[in-house]
Amino acid sequence: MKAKMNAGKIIKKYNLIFMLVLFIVISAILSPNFLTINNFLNLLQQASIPGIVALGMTLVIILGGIDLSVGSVLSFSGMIASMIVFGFQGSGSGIIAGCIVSLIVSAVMGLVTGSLISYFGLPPFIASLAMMEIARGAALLTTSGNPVFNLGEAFHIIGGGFIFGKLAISAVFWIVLTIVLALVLKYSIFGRTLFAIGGNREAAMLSGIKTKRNYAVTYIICALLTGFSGILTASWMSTGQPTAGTGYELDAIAAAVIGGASLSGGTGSVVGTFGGVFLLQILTNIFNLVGLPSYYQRIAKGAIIILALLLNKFVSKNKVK
Amino acid sequence: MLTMYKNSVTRCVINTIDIIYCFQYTCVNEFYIMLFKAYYKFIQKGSMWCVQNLNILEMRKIDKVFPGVKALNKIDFSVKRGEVHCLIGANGAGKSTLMKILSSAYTEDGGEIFFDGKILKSHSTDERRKDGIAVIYQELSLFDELTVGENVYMNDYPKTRFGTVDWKKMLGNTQKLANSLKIKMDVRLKVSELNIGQRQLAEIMKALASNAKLIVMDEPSSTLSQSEFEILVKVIKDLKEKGITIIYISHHLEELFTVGDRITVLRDGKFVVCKDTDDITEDQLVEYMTGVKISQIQKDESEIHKVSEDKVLELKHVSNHKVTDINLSLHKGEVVGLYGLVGSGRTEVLESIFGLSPVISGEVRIHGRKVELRSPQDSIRYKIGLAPENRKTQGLVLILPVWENMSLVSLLKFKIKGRINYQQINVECNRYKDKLKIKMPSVNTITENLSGGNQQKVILSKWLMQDCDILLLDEPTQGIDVVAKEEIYRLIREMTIMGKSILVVSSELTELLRICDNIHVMYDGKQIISSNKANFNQEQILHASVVGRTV
Repeated sequence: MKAKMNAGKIIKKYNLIFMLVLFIVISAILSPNFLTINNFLNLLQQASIPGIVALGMTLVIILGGIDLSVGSVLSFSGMIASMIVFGFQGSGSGIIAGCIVSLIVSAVMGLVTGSLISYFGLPPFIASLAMMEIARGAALLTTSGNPVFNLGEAFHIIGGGFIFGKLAISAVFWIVLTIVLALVLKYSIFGRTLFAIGGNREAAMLSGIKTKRNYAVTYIICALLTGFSGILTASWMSTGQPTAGTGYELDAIAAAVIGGASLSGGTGSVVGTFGGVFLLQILTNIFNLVGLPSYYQRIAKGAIIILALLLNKFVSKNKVK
Repeated sequence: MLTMYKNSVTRCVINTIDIIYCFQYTCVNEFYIMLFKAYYKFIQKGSMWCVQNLNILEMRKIDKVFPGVKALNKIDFSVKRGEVHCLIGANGAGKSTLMKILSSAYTEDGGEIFFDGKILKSHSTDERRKDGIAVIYQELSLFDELTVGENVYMNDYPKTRFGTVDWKKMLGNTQKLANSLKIKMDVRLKVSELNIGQRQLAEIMKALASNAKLIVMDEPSSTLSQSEFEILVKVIKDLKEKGITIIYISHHLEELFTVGDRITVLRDGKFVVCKDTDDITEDQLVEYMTGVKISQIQKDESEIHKVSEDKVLELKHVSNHKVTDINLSLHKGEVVGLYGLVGSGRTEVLESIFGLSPVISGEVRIHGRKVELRSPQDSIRYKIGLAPENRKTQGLVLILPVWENMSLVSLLKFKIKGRINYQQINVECNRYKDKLKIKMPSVNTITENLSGGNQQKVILSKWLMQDCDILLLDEPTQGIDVVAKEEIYRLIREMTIMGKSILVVSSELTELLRICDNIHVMYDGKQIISSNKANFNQEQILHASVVGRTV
């Protein structure tokens, strides 16, 4: 009985790794180009921006909330950064100013969403849906819907540059942020309280945790990470694109859930989310390598989400018995 | 058919009774017809033919055991057709349990239920409803966002010939029903737009729409104003005229004499007495409810320890949204109890001490200093801890492991060099696991998998780890078996020796009499009497909690 429970736990804990290995093996069989260092680094680079967004989303989901506004905040932040960089003609001070201003604006948007939820009692879904519309509208408004080009070579380095030849700087950001957040979740009081609030908000409140403040702070962190992704996107494409980030919110939620987070709150991990994003990216990659149209990708993505959740559910059901 | 009939000896006996019964009232010619009818009915329903006319409901020798507690002990309860039968008893006497068995929310462990001439065998609430039993619970079960009409016909929407909901018929029938009960109500309104009294009436209409023959009302008056109560009394009279039987549960004794025909008293899961309301007085009722066990209260003389003069907590004329003018003081090492019926404002007193419910007037003093407690954080800073009434929804994060729950309040203590020191948490949690004798495989066990008593101990460890001086315990032993209860009492005693002061809210008087140095009795938001260990008087305390005044 005890051994069985442990087996269940192990499967639950490592089912993501199991799926990753499975996909890598299948991909390697399908395409000889898949298992190359070049392709792997390429994967990391492509996954980095949605990956950073998903990190923020994971924190919000652990807290028991949801943030639908990430895609829009990403594009708005990218637009602000690129307009300022464009205004300063790509100079160093312009880049710094652009980054700072867009991060501040993102943080304010996160604060508004978080406060609406915690202090005014709006449901997370609705509050972030409203913010999603507002941010997207604002992003389009900045240039009446036109992209901003000519951001200069210097700005391109942040999101499109490489170190050691092939390793994308944005991928380094992604990995470092994942590690930092994993440590925050594990070793900081704030991190632990997120799990408590997500698990039982009332019990957390009665244990003296400032649930409302932590709610707002988490949404700010999520928005900051999103805003940073927006800068990376603009930099990588050397373009401020007001329609950037469309659909990112759902990808981020999918990645977090595949990574073991539960939408009812209290469980989840950023490392799991890292794996989830990576898994989804492998899927896109192998479809591209094999040359299948992207329509199949979406169908497969849906199937993967279902599979991952069923596996989790199946395992935890066994555990209860 | 005849061979079948002869199969069972008991059935023969009953049949003989039938024959004698019938013989007295019918001529010989009709006798065979009657006999055939009687026994056809008997085979069809398994009925008690002669009893059914007298009593619509008979519950016989009902037993119910909860883990470690005998909630009901061979209870006999019968209700005559068309009467208003009151069911009373102190908290934990078994009223609600008995009614839950009637509605099949619980399954009895022994005994039989006869209703309207047949044995109730199936254990589905839906079947019981179809049989004609409707229970109106204290917390009403209406859908706020639907109209009264929809709520009334929730279980059986009238349909048009196209299969869609027949709104005209539904609302029309409901309005007719309201009119027949002389209820002034627009049935097109949403339930959320009704006041509490009207909601109660809507529940009654819902019961009638499902052709209820017996309606159980659990504490219908507890939330009603005087005028609303009068309307309820009128409606109950109308129901009676329609031949509907009512079981009326209430804490308020004076009401029973207004609405009831007969009264059944339960105490400690046992049947005490059943009398006509005309043959009994309020004081006698209290006597039946409390029993004469006063001499039996365990008072461990050795445990009476000297309470220090040091006042750690003092409430002076404190009022909040629910309670008025509460005065109490808690000394170092003292256990003070708050007794009262459910809803008397006991929990609300704790809420004000824990910063959850603002103090409107009066003052709270801690170690003699006046303090403002605006949030749980404020109270925790003054070393106050709360074990809330509902362990699962308020006290614990069930999906997290035990260590995480234990260290939830005191996390800051374990922050060393900027990060949480898990090794130290582990050591500390294991220390409390041993100290409080918490039974679990390890501190990594998911809290959900612990028993109620052990969960309560986890909550206590949480506050002990934070080094609280004042512990507020709201129903600390609710739903806990006897053995675990003893453990909790032992812990409370040990904590007082450690110098902690404890304020306990409980519905079990015997529990408070045992562990408290001082007991305050609450009724309807007011503090009625206070007595200390030297002169506890069980009867007086119960009387005060039930009728709201001293004897």
